[in-house]
Amino acid sequence: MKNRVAKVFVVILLLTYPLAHWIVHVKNHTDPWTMGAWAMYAVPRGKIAVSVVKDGLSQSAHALCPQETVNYVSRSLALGRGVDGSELWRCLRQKNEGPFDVRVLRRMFDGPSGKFVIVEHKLRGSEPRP
Amino acid sequence: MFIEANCLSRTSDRLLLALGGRVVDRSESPWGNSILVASLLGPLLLEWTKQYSRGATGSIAPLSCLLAGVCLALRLRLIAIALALAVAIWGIGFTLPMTPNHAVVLAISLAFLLWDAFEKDSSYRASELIRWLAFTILFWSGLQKVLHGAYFNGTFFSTQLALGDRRFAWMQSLCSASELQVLGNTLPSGPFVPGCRKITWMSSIVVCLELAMGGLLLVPRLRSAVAGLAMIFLVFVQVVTKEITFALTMCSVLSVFLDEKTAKRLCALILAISLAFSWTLTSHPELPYN
Repeated sequence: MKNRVAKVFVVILLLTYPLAHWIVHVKNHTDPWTMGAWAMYAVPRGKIAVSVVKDGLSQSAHALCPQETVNYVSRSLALGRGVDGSELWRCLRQKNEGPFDVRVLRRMFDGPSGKFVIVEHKLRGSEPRP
Repeated sequence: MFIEANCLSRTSDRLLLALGGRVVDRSESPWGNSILVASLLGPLLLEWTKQYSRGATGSIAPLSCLLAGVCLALRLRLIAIALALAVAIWGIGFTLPMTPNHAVVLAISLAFLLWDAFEKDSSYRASELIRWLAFTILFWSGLQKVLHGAYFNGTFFSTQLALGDRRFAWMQSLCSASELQVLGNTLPSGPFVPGCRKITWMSSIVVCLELAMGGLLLVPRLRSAVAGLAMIFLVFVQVVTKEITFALTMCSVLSVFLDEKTAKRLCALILAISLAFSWTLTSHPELPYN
């Protein structure tokens, strides 16, 4: 009986996971091609960029911290704002002096209008720490 | 208490057997799942041979797949499934969060098969769960496209065409030169609206077919035929987009809807194609196949 219940649970999970995936990705403006749920080729893939704004000038964070940024960017694209950017922030602090701002720009596709829309927000974990 | 348990088991029977199959006595055919395991090993080997030949991973993963094949041939089914599942799970971890769909399908199917291998009583086969997996893939592929809203208006294909995605370059033949010029002059941010009706029709047909084939798997009389048609459709779509591994994985998964004789023949074909592609990609890793 236990096995039957477990298998029924698995079937329900198979059927409902894609819906949860759709809700999470639409809510967070992230890339639906990631994390399974059969949403590949549903929309054109999004892009993400992280920029460092210092003294009014913008610079690519990828150029400053290649490894860390690559890791951060791919995870962030998949999971959205819930990702902790502290590792990237730490690297940027080592390379920059004085106050600076880290911005994340996501270019996502809006299916009904056929347009790419850009969503910008501050990097989570990038608030200055004492 | 007994009535409740009976009712629960009837309900679970209805759900788990909604896509066919039956409760079996395990002594009937202890090697029943071996064909399915062999079919899944083909695309798994292809995936990791491809990654190895392109320098993304070492040789341990493809060699483990070959070892799993040897174990299966020696009737060490449990070891074969465990080895293959280990490679599949490692593959998911290695490619996260950009894990391709076929890697997820392979890992889930092999996990169901391992679960099945540990069960000793009369019960459901892994194939009952894999039938549901096949249904979910087909149906949700269509529904995701509807929910994201880029298919019935043709904006997905138009965008890929305008951005010069090589996988969709063949669609240029569906549009006139003036229609292509309008699309080519679209700003990088869009809107990518198709001036070409054939593209809108084609993308609508893709969604309708995926939803219909998923739904028709629930009709007992049509099940085998729909599984066959789904294989043809998926092979066509995936060959066009050069996603060979996904096409082979889906054929393996859909083989649970076929009779044993046909499934055996299909398994031999899947293995032959997987080995041929693995061999070709080892010597020509630059070939644009996924």
